[in-house]
Amino acid sequence: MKILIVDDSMTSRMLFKAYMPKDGQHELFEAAVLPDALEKMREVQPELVILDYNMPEHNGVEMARAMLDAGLKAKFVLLTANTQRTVVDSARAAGFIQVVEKPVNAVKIAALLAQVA
Amino acid sequence: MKRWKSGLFNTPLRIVIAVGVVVFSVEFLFMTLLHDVIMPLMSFTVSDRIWSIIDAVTLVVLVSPVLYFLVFIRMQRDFAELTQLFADLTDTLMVGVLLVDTDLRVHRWNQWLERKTGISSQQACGKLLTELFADLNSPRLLSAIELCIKHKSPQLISQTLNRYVLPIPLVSPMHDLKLMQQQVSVAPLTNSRGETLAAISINDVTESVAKSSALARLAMKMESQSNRDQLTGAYNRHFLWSWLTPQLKQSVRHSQALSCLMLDIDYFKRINDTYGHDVGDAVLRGFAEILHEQMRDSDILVRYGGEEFVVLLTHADAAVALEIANRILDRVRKTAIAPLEAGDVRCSIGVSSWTPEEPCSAEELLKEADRCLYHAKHNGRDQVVIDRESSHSLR
Amino acid sequence: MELDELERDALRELANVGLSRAATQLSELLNDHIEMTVPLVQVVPYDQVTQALQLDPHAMVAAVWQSFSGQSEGTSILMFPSEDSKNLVRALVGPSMLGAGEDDLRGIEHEAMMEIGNIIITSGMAVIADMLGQEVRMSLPGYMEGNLPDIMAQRSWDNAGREMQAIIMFTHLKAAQREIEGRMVMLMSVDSVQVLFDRLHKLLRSL
Repeated sequence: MKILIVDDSMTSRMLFKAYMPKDGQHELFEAAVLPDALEKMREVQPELVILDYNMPEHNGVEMARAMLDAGLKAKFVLLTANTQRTVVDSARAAGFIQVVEKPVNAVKIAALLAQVA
Repeated sequence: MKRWKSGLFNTPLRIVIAVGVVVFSVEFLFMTLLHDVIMPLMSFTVSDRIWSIIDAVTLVVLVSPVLYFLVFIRMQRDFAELTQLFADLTDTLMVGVLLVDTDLRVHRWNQWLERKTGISSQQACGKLLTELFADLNSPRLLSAIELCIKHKSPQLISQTLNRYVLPIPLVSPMHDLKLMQQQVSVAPLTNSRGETLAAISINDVTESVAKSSALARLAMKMESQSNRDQLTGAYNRHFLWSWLTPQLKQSVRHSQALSCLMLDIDYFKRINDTYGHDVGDAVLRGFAEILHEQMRDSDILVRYGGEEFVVLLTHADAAVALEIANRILDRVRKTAIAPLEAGDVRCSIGVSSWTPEEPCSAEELLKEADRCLYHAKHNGRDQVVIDRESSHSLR
Repeated sequence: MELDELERDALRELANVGLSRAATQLSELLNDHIEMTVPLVQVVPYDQVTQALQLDPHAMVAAVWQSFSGQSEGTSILMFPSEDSKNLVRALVGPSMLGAGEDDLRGIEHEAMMEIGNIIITSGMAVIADMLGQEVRMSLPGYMEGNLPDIMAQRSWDNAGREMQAIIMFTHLKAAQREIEGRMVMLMSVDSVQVLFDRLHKLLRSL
């Protein structure tokens, strides 16, 4: 499965990559800002897009909407420590299939991949 | 003597004595054997002086278990006195003191709490906080306990931002306040085994709140943001959400199932239009009563919408939930809710279930019940619908 | 202390996760959506703290603090401009406060800010424990109000003259339609800071 992670924090992207299973079944792509994310999506067409919530210019939910508006389809998952009810509700309303709470670990990622498969 | 019948590490005194006697006897036998049998057999010619030394050593060895035993008894007594002193201390304080673990199980409950809540220490210890206070509605308390235990950080629960933390009714209402106003702090307490408990101390600040009219108004405002639906006495939607999320966390911890019934009175609008709102209200009340009869103490009834109710069944899987739903359906059909006749009021019920093996979020649980309710309505009403595909316990 | 880009990114991510968890707790407590961002994290020596905080030395500041000990030792101090914190608390407790006496109000602000500060500091330290494996014990929260020089002078924040450093996090918080700037200062001995950074490097190297 092709996965795109969009997070302005290099550390967060590195952590996600480190905890992903190393079985070669998944390919991970990265982006830090919306324009790059959109470009990567067109280029790679990932099945799963993982978005951070707290980002400087647009939050994760806004980014997902922008992607849908641009006609780019994928399964969206929110990766964030900000799990306020308002945030989770707006994510679900925008069509996110899951919210994964930071800090991330191998167990959470395995559960997510099992669910998405 | 009574106090130290149960000793250090809870070994009963008779066992300690028995062990002491056995050790003493074995040593005595051994020394006698050595002295009278083994050494003569080995034909050692030993001078009288050496025999005296051997006898002296034998005596010391025989006496030593008795000495250890006496020291042990003394330590037990000191320990019992210390424990008693601590218990007396927490009972002397004019403050509520309770100790809970990470599962919210009560380990200690002091006299102040006994007096104010009417729950004795025996009743309280070993139970979950959520069992002792069914309408406990303080997510801040629960997360404070979690943070305190996990990260050993004391937590303050202000009276300003929190309504009463534990729902403790006042003996006599003060300044229109019905519940005790509390200032609560939670501190970590680690025992020698490395287990951390949360020590919750509760100050009754009702009087000072009542004295300050500003604080009193604030407190009354918080109290009036009640959890209940005025008409039926069921809980309201607001309570549902603050109750359900921590309840699911509890269910994960204790590996329990939780089920949800979503009920809708059939053709309620028609009843209101035909008979008027007073009858409509009576029907809602009567319906809620029928639901209450089929529920257990730990279950929650919520008025979810105009004529929509939600029943949350704790420790109940899909099979149990289905049974209860069918019983409710049956009772509703057979009960006359005045001024209407038996059979005039019917309902549709959607059932969903949460198990630790197949967990979902609070929203998903309700959404699923809603989906089933929708099917029930569109399948002719007056029925129960559950999704057998997704219900583990029904397969 | 000069941080390379990865270290700065990592510290900011830690701060973001910590403050986000605080936001989740606060939103439950205050029944409102909370917005929080961490624009900047800095590490400065003790004698530069006052300057780095960029606060008007005459402005009144409300501060909540908790000491910590264990694998690292020091104090976390959360500072808000007094005016902003007053407005926030008044917005939270609402119009029922109209006509309340000054003493009542001060007591209310004091208590409310202590709880809010307690939540933010605990969440911050919790993240350091969860992500860096650094376990610490925390003290009861304390509260102080005054201008910055007074606050820094009030307690002997410096442990018996040991060389100290501070990790400073600037944050923007929005609750109840009120915006408030916050500054979290973690005052620690140089050794304690080193321990923290060693763990951080360990984490980054493992990635």
